Amino acid sequence: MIETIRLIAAREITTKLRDRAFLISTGVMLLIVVGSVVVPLLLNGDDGHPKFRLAVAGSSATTIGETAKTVGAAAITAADVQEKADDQAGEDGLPLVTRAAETGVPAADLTLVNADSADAATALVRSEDADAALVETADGTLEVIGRDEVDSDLSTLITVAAQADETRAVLTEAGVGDDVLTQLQSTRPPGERLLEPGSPNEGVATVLSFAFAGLFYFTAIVFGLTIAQSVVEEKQSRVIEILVAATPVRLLLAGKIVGNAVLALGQVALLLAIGLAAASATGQGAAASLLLSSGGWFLLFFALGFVMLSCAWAAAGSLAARQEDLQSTTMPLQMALIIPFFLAFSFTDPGTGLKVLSYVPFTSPMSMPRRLLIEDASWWEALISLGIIAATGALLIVLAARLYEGSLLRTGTKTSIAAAWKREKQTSA
Amino acid sequence: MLELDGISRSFDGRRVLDGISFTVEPGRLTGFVGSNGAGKTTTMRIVLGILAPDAGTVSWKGQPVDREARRGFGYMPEERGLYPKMNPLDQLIFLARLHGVDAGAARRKATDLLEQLGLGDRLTDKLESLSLGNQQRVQVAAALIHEPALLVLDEPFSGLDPITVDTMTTILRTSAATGVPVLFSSHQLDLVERICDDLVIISGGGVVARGTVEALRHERAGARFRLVLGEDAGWLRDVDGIQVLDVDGPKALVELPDVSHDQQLLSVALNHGPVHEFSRVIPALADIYREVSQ
Repeated sequence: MIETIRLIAAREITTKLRDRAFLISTGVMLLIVVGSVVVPLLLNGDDGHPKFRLAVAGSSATTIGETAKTVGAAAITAADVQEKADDQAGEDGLPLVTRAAETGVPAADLTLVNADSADAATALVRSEDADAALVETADGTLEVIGRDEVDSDLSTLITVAAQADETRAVLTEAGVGDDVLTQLQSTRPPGERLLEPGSPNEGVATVLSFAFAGLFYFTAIVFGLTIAQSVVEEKQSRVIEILVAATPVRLLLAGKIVGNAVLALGQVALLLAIGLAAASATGQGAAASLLLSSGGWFLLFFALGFVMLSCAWAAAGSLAARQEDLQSTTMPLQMALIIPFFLAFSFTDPGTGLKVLSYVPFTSPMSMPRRLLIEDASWWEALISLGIIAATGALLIVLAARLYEGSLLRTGTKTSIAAAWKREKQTSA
Repeated sequence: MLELDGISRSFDGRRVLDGISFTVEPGRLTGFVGSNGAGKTTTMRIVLGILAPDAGTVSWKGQPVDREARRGFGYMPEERGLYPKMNPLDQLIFLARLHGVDAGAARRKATDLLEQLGLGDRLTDKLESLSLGNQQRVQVAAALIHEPALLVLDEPFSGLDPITVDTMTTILRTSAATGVPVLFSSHQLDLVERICDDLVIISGGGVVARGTVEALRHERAGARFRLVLGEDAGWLRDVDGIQVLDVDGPKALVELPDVSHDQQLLSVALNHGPVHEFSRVIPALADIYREVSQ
C-alpha cells in the first residue's frame, strides 16, 4: 500500500520536474526572492544620499557653496552612524528606544562647479551640466537658478549654508572666538525616547508575514490547481480506467496529495533557504535570524494547511470532465482561499480580529505565523491552531475522497457535487 | 478459469445486467459479442473490479476474486488512453509497478514489449507525439506489461489498421497459447468467428448464447440444405414435406422438417437427375447473432 502511494507520488513529482513551465516559474520565484532582498540594497547602494552639481559664480557664492558641501557631507556621516547603530540594535535584539533626532540638514553629496560668470553658470544649468547655479546678482545679493525647479534638499542646504556663513560673520565681527563657533556648530539636538515602542523588528516582521501569507496563498493555488489538473488529465485521457483497475482509488488520491505536497513544501523550503542565504549574504542579520526562528513554524502551518486543501482540490478536479471545466469546479475553492487571503491582510495588528483569524483553519496558516512573528502568540496557541487545521483536514479528506470516488469514472460530462456524493456502488474492494 | 455467476447491475434504476453467467477457460480466446448498450463494458468493468455488481459473483480459479487476484489481470478499456505527456517506456514501467512488478523487471519487460511491437526507437518520445496506430500499440503493451494471468480487452480491434489487427490477433493467440484465459469484445463478427475458440453473446442484459463457435453454428444450423443439380431445380417446389427457400436455375436452398430427412431428399434428387452438390448450410456467426439478438 505504501509502495503504491510512493509510486504514484513519484510519478507526480517526476512529471512536474520535467515540466518546463514549472521549472521556469520556480526559477522566476527564486529570482523574485533574491531580488526582493538584494534590490533595495542596490537602490540604497550609494547610501541613498542624493548627489547634486552646483555651479557657483562669484566669491561669496563659492564660499556659501563650500559651506553647503561641508554641511551636506557632515549630515551623510551622521546618517551613516545612525544607521549602523540601528542595525546593531536590531541584531542584538535591543529595542530602538533612543535615537538621535534628525538635525534637519539633508544628507547630500554636493559637487561644486566653478563658473566664470553668472551667465556661464546659468548656461551650465540650462545644458544640464549642473543641477542648479548659485550666482551673485548685480546688486550683490545671491540667487539660486534652477532649470524647471530647484531640488528642495539642495535649496535647504544652500539656505542653511548661507545662514551659517552669515551667523559666523556676525559672531566673528562681535569678537566671538573660533573655538566657541566650533562648539556652537557641534551642538547636538536632543535625543528621542518612545514610551510605547512598536514590537521589535516590526518592519522586518511585517514584510516577512506578508511574504509568508503570500507564499501560502500562491502555493496553495498553484499546486492545488496542479492536483486538480492532474486528476482531470487522468480522466480526460481515460488512463483512469487502467489505474482504477490496478489500484484502489484512495491510494491514487493519497499518492497524488503526497507527491504534490512534497513538491510544494520543497519549493517553499527552497525559497525560504534562498531568501535566508540572500539575507545573510547581504548583511541583513536581523531579517535572517527572524526568518530562521519563524520559518519552521511557517513550514509546519504550510504543510498541514496544504494537505487540508489538497484533497478538496483533487475532488474539484474529479468533478470536471475536461480541463475547461476546472474553472467552474474549482471556483468554490478559489473563493475559500482568496477571501481568507484578504482577511489575513486586513487584520495584521494585534487584536481580536487577528486572534480569531489565527484559529480559523483557512486563515490560520497566514495569520498565526504573523502573530508568532510579532510575538503576539505563544507556542501552545500555535499548536492549538495546528490541531484545528489537522481536524478540519481530516474532515475534508473524508468528504473529498468520497466526491473523488463518486466522480472519477464519470468521464463524459461534468459531475455535480450531488451526483458524486450519491456514489453509485463503485469498486467492490 | 474465470467464472461469472448471476451478475446483475442497475444504473439509476435501469437494469443493465440481469443474471449474467459464463466462463472463460484457460488457454482459450473467448469472444464477447452484443449490440451497443447490451452490457459488455459493464460486465468487463465488474470483472476488473472497477464497478461492483448488485448481485452475483465473479470467481477466479474457484475463489471469489479479490484485489490481489485482480492486480494480476490485464485490461484494455474501450476508452483508450494513457498519459499523453509521458513517454511509452516510463508509462509502461509505472503501470507494471502498479501491478506489483519490481522496477528492474518492469524496465526489461517494457523494453522487450515495445521492441516486439515495433516501437523500439520511440521508447522515450512523448506518447502524444506518436501516431494513433502507435499509441494503440502502446495501449496493447499496457495491458500485457505485467504478464497478466487473465486478459480482458474491450473492443481491442476497434480503430486498428489491418496490419495492427494482425499484430493484435497474434498477440491474443500467443497469450492464449501460454494458458491465459482471454476475454475480448468486438463488433467485427467475421473477425470474432475467425479467431475465437469460445463465444458469449449477450442481449438485453442476459446471455443468449454461449459455447464453442463450431458448436454454436451447428446447434443453430437447423435443417437447411443447398443443392446444385444438372438441370433447373424448379421441380423441387412440387416435392411434399420440404420448404423451398430459393431457386436460381440449377441451384436451390431448401429447409427440411428435420436433418434426418436429408438422405430421403438426396435420393429423390438423384432419381430426378444428376446432383453436383448437396450440402448442409451452416449459418455464419453474423446470422446467429442476428437471430439471437432479436
